[in-house]
Amino acid sequence: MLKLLVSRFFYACVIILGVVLVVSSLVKLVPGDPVDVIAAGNPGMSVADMDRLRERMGLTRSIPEQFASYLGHAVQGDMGTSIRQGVPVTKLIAERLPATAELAFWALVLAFIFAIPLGIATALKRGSWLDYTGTFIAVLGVSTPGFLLAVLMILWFSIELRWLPASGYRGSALLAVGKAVVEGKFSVFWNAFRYFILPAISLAFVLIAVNARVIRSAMLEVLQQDFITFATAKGVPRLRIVLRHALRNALLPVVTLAGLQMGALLSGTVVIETVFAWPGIGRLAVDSIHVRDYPIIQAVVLVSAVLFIVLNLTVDILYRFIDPRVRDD
Amino acid sequence: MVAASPLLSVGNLTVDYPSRTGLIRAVDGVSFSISAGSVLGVVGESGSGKSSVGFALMGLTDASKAVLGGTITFEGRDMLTLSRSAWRQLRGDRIAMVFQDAMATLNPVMRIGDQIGEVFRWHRPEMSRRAIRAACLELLERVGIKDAGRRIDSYPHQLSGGMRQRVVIAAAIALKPSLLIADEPTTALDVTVQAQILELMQTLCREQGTALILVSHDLDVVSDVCRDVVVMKDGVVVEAGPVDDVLMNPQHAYTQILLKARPGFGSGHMNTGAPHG
Repeated sequence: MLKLLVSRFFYACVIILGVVLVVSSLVKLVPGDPVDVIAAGNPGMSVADMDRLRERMGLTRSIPEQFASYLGHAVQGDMGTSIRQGVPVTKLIAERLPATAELAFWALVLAFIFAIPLGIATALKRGSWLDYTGTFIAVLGVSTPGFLLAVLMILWFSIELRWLPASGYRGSALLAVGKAVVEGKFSVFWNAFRYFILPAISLAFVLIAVNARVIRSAMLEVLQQDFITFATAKGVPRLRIVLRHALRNALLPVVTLAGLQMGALLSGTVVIETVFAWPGIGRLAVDSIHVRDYPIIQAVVLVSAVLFIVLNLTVDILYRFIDPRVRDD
Repeated sequence: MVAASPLLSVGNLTVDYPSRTGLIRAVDGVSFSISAGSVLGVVGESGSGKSSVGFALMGLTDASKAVLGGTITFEGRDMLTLSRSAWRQLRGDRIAMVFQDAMATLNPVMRIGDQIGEVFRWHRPEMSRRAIRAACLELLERVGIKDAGRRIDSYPHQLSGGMRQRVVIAAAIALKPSLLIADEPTTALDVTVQAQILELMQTLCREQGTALILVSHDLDVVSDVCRDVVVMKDGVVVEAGPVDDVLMNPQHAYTQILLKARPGFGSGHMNTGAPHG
């Protein structure tokens, strides 16, 4: 276990180094720099002013130099200062990441609450109308763009029915769960959670479709195994066989999938965050790209990469708990 | 039990599997019977329908949507009219089955103690967890697993092939069923282990008065273990009777070919009269 962690940590460092290198090079390759953007907003700036600004921001140094200095600061937790806002990038990210992370969490929870029963049911009733309905939902889910679903839901649930807010974020619902349970203040939870519902569904819809399909095919494969027949031959009830023997085995590949999906949600919910005016990391990235705020762009990519690596490691460690064969390898 | 009424009698059993072109008959009018505590061999090549007979006797053909015909009478009950839940209560309790590949037969993510314990859990709901564990330990010792106290918490992949088959046998005989069906129980094992496992099954069945149906392609195994034998080909019984009669004096050409195919018996005394070719 320790050996795994050490070797993974080593790999993680190499990957992160690569990510930083690629991102900083790409950012530099894009025509125009932050000073151009600032100058566009301040017509009074002279060329000399612009050069002085470039000097002060370290943009005149060679790319390897900039890279080395960036890395040196980053390992100390200093990811630079936002060019436009003059605020430490770490602070900006810390403000935005929780909103994105919690949205990703609820989307994934929602995805599996629906995908697991749907996957099991369509596998057990293969070839029935239920299975075909499942296929239909899957095709619909995969082919419906999230932003379209988002806009349609806003029109219906927010504007027409006035059930749910159309946009915005009112703090963590997860933290409010404790309050709701301990103090019985369900309204506190609901007031935060209702802002999550529409964006979470928008993100989850495609995941429900994909995951239900994956669970269905995994279940079909597992249900044909001899150990299912053996469990039946032992007189174990069907429901117990499906849930204890089949689902447990069928969910193994799904854990990997969930890790990747969580990673993708954490780093790339740009469109949905934009539609719902969600103060997340995706919107921070897009806004920063528009104004060439290098430090923020680099930091967002770096944080996403680190999150991906951490999630993958978590999945690997999780596997050792849920699959005894991996544990002994 | 009265000698006249056998433990299990199969009459004119047919098994049809659905396919695109209609039903495919895997078993075509098979009849035999087995008395309590005796041993019957069912022999045939792959595709002869011998495994389908075994699965039909366990009521395990549901999953493949097979259509059964004829009669199966077990302990005086007509099995083909049983409800699902009546089948469930019988399986693992009165009739049990051992399969070919013990690795595939055991759930890879479940401790072997739990897999044996399930039999008690669903057939003897009055037993406490502790009592079930004690019973599992005793069973593991009975099937010859050393260090049972440690092994009970092992996962299947941590055991050898022979030990896995012992675990499967332990689960099968846990409730002292009156009939045990073994479908090629030693085919996947090393030759040296094969004999041990066969010996073990025979001993256990004798001890607790369990009748054994040994389904196999291997005539040597069957002739070692069984008193009576049924030879199947293409879903039909081509020969049946006491092992010695059938093997010493095969009446049917197919039995003669099967005998001739045995390694080490190419020119032996048993295949006199076999067609040359």
